[in-house]
Amino acid sequence: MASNHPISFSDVNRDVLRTMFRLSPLYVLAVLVTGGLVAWGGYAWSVQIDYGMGMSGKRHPAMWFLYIGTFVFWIGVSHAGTLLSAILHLLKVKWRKPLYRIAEAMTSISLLCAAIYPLIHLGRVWKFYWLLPYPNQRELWPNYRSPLAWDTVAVSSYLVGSSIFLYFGMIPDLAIVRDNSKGIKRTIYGILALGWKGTNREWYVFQKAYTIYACFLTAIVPTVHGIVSWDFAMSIQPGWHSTVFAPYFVSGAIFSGVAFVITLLILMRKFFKLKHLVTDDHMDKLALLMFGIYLIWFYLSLMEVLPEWFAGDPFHKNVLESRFWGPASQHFWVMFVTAGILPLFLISRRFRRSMPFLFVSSILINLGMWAERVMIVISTTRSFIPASWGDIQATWVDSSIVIGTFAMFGFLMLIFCKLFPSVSMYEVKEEIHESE
Amino acid sequence: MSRESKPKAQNKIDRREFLAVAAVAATVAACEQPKKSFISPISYPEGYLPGAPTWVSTTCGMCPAGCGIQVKVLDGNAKKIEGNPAHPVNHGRICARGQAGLQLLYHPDRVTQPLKKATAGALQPATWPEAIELVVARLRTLREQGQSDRVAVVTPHLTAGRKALVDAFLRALGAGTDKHIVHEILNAEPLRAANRLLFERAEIPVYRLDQANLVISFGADMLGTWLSPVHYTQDYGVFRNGSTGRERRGRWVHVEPHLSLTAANADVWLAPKPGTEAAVALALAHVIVRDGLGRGDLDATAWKEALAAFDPARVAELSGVQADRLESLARELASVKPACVVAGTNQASNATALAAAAQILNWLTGNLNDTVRFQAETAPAAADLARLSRLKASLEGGQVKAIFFIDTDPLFTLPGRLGFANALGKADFRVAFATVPNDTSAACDLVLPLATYLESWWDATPAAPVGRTVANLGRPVVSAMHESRPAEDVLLDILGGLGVPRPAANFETFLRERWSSIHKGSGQKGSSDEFWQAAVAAGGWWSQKDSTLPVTPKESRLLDGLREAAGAASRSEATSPEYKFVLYAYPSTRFYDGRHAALPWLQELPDPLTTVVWNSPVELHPDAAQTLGVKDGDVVRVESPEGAIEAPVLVFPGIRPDVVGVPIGQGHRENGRYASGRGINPLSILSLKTDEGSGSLALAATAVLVKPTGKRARVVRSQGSPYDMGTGVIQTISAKELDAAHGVRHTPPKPLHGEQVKWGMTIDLDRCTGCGACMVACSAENNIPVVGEDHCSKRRDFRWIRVERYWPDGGNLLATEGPAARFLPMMCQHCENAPCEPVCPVYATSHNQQGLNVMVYDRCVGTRYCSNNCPYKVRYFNWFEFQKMWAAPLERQHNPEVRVRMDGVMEKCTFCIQRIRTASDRAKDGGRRPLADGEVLTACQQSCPADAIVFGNLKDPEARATRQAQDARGYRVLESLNTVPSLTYLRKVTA
Amino acid sequence: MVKAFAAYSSPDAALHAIRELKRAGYPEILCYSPIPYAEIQEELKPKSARVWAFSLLFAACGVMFGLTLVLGTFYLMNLITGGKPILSIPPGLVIAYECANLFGFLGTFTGLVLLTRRWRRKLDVYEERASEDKLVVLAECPDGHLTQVQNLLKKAGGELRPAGGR
Repeated sequence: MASNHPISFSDVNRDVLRTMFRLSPLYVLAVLVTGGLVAWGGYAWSVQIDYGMGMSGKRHPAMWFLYIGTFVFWIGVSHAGTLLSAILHLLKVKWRKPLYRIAEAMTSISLLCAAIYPLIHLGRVWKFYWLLPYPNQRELWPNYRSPLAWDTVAVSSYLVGSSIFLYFGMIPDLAIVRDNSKGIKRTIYGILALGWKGTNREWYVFQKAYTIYACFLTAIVPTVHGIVSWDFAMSIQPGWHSTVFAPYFVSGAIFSGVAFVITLLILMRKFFKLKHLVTDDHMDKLALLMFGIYLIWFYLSLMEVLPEWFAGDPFHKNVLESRFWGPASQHFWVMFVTAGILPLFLISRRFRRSMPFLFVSSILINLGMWAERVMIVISTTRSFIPASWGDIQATWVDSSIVIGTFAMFGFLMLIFCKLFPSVSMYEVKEEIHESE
Repeated sequence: MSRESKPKAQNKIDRREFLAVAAVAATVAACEQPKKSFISPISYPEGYLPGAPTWVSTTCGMCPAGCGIQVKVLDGNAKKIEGNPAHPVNHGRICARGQAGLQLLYHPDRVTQPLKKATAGALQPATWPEAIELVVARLRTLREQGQSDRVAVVTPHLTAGRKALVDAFLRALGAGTDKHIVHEILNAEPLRAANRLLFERAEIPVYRLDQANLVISFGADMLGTWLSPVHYTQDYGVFRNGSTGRERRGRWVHVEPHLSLTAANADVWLAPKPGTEAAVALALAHVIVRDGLGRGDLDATAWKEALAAFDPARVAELSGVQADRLESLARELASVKPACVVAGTNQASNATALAAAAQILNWLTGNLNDTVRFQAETAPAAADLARLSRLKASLEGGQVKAIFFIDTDPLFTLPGRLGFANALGKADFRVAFATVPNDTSAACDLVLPLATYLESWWDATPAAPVGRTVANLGRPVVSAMHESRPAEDVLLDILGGLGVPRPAANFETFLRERWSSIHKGSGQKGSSDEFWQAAVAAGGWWSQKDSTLPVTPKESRLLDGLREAAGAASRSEATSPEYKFVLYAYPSTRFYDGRHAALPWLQELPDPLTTVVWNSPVELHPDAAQTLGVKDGDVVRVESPEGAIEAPVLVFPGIRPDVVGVPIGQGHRENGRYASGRGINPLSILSLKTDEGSGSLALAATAVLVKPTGKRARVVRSQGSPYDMGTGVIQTISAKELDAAHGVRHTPPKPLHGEQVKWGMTIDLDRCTGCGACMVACSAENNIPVVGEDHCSKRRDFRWIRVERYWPDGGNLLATEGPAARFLPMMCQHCENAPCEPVCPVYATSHNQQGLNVMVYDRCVGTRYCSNNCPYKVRYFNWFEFQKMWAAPLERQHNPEVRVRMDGVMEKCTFCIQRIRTASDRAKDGGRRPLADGEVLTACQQSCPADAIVFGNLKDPEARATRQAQDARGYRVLESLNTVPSLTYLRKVTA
Repeated sequence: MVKAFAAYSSPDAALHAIRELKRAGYPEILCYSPIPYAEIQEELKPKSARVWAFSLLFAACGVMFGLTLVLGTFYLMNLITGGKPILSIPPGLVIAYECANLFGFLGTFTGLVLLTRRWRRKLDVYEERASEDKLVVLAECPDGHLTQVQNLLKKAGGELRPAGGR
């Protein structure tokens, strides 16, 4: 192919395929460590099921704590993937192309991590199927007045949608893998590629379907975190009952999700040696996107607090005070420093292009955003009745389970990277073609 | 609302049912062996219905007050204790301690069989014949040595037949009845001494609080632990409720250095220096005499002279109570009729002087023979410290060689300074009758399993007279647990073993003989057998008419008494520069004198004022804590010249800065699994100061020093913030506002749900004293688990009803007018727009046809969203399989009408739906529908001594609950949330 | 009918070949490519591919399903919760919206699979490098025209591949 671009189509195939299948010692170590942590988290969960929910740190009146907080966090993380894969696709943003596959994988995997939390947090997890609408002899059905029932529908729809989308977009790339492998691998990837041959007619249908699919996904994204935020906003608990919650949560979700993508991409660039495909320019754009969303999120955070403070309602005032110097203060100040102040540096191009800074700050931002979710969840420590006010303290069980799901995310990402192309080859090629 | 018109419908039916099966049930109860036998389904005794409870009337033996109780017995197990509605002491109500009697019966650590001390010192199991033979052999040896009178029996406050039997036992051995030592650390001896001094009547008077418009109490915790708290609390309820029935709302002034339950409920709490209460009382007398406000027939000069030392200005200096408050209080006392002055008993070393001063005030203001009366027959005296000192000397001197302790624990209750433990070591033979092992039984050679009051025949006279002649009768309601036996029967067997003629074959026949003389005195018709049967069925006998007698005191005698009291009254408890604080050891509303510490319900019941559970902290005023540089949870050492105790600090606004408060009741070395080694015992470091007039131990007269130790320990409290925090959760109304609102009716929202019936409740916060009886009643009725201190510290305790205690804003109780504490019983409000319901994803909670918010445990998956969304935070989650934590046989107290809840589900107050169902079924069977008002009593309402809780059908315009909900004082908690609660609170009235 | 095909390195050459084929009267053309090239897509636009019909139909079913599920549940359970009316509409809207999206996903994907399959059945030749960097143009022609078509392909710069067909 006559080309003035430094990277040829074959280079793309070679460089991306090179990242698959081959196992370095470091990789094996990473899989073992994350796998071990997952097993430990699973053990902690089994202890919780055996002895009771009390093994976690929850207590009256903070009936929800790390589990729901981390659930919201994971749902939030997932949103950035869809932003890059679907929303920016519809907006015809070109620089998204090398980034989106890993982001979309992150979406599905973080949704999986999120989806196990409603189970972990159930007092009687062995009855989890009661939350699903299935015909049964006793003619019992779930109560769709409950935001939790909306959650079930929204999160499972989103999980199905994003997983199909991840696969959907991967079909041409799976065909590439098929074409470059032999034996049983070829058969498996052949089946997965659904016989993709890349004819103009297939591309035609593919592009049409891709855009329609992206429309649906774009339509569901804000509602998923919106509904998650309604778990809180639909209640009457001060600190939860707030109309700003849906946009506030969605912006926070994308903010932390983009930070998560940055962390992953920096790791991938380093360990898979893909700096020429995922360039500093791409990272700069991503950091700028994060900065923009940060501004929206920061504004909405203020809008959550200021009216409550200014209105002087005693119930809200009590919750706010709990955040400044009460039981939620640790979480508040961590959030304030890492997610509130730190991203301001992103205004400078120098910081945006400094990979060490981006790496550290993206991790810290996520720590802050996680703390923010937990802070919101434990607003119930300052409920309406002062005599019922309480405190909260995590235990080894809930900490282990939370760490276990973070490890599970890493574990599944590691597996994903070895089994599937983590950069979209055909779309990078498109980008190369267009830049010529 | 007078007592006679209280709703009794349910209990009437219970009684009728009971009478119908009385004979059968008695047979069944007696022949059943619940631990092994079951009733054959093919040969029920006639009339016996398995699964149908019977209510057996008997008497409460938890404290000397002598309340009548009914025990719910089902298939041989006691399930619940409620007050006997017909009983003149408690009229169907009962306190938390009384209800916890079930746990004494089913305590897992009961002494199950006789235990004798082996040579090595360890206790070894023995059989009853062996144990009795052991005692008999010892007594025989003594007799052979000619020392058969060298025995002593130490008991709690025994009266009537029980006292007679112990005395008969001692006489049969040839010992004098002075060898029967009654030991009650909490007693009213100063009151008796004062009344002997003034009126030649060594008795406790009858206080008619319900008729008084002003009560001034000096250190008498009438609503908490003093003499007959349930009786007084009932009177208090009537006394308070000026807006319904009575002409005006009574006003209460309480004088005590520490905030007791009574102080917390009083309109005015004055905190004088410890020991100056008598001076305060005499200052009131001084003003009344000086200004001629009292009775007109006085020898004014003599009185003025006798009271000269108690000029308000001087007393103010001595006591720390401002002179103008003394002046105005005196004027109020003189002008409000009728009033009632009550003196507490054994706190100070001048308690008799205080009691005398109080009675003089009553006489001066014309309240004697009105609100303060004397009655013909009252209980005999309890012991004083002097008699125990003599016993100790006898033990040391060998005048007492064999000693019997029946259900008493002097090694716990006596100050260590007395050295009773050492003296006991000198005795040859020590026998303890104990239900649960205690500090004393651990020091004995033979421990005998004692049957509780629910397993024995016994009788008693109430400690405090109530204006009617009362003879209480106790009967076995269940067959004895383990191998336990009543002490009286064992004493009779010992006499039999010795070959001494026994007064009776067993205690039951002994009692029957005694009761035939009560029959003669009662003037009742019929045979004495019929009288006995009726008394057994009713739980005793009481006269229907007033049995008080007027006293006519001689003025000269009063003046003499006054002069005698004046000397003791003109000082405060001594402190020194080193020992700066006075230790205020006060009886705990939960454990009384410590005898109930073994009972888990009471351990987990929060103290009404400190809200502490499972522990005994050192209470320090915020100022004192600041000076010492300590905060909540810092361990301090409280040291008296006699010893030291270490415990964590609780900064508590309800105490004088120069006083350290420690509740009595914890600190047992040995008392079952729930109490052993828990907390501290302030009694152990008391000096041996006694009340000069009576010899009774002064509990609040020891000077101590407080040293921080640098260690920390937890103080587990059941409550979050002690302040309202601007939320308007607890509301009050001033008396003036209430007057302005006179006749105004409050319109509660119309019931939204419910077809013919919409259940609702009202709670009168002006009546509620915060005593906590409702909490134990609820636990007993609804099988609510006890979770222990660890889980309590994580707020995982279950309280379907909890009594919240709020301080007024600012929390400076010593400088705040009006009631010091505001109590708010908080339970499921059964909101019509219940926020918990729509958030449940599985319909585990919803509304039923009768407007109740119902909870389906089996459907609950445990998302806990309902609890998050409950603004009242009254839903409780089973974090663990708490129900499995009951140590056997405590699970036998479970009410089979309420299911136990499994791990992982939510639970909450149901308005006792099982009681509603039972009553509805009964009404249906009787062809009546709908239910009559008052036919359903919730467990909390049934127990409430102040009658603060009223439950009923809000669709019935005549129902008491409906009418109360329209009271001008009515409000709903968090009304602004539009949850439309079914519970209306009536505001507490502030002065 | 036989099939002639050739591989190209540049999209321009392939486009040229396609145009030539069309001009020569061979409209049955397929182009394999590693990425969709806009000009080629435009040149070889298929008659119709109604993916949107699948999506819309499924999404409409989703709305019906969601509403039926929610309102049906309320009707069957018939329990008052929170004082709200038995048939509460807002939860129905939320679930209907989510279900519309869920069914939309499934419909679109079904459309993709079915529509690409419909055309693929005819093809029995494949050039592996088409997934890397080559474009492959395939033309169908009557048996006698094979050489003519192959020349045409070759002239446009293609590397000829052995002919296929029945």
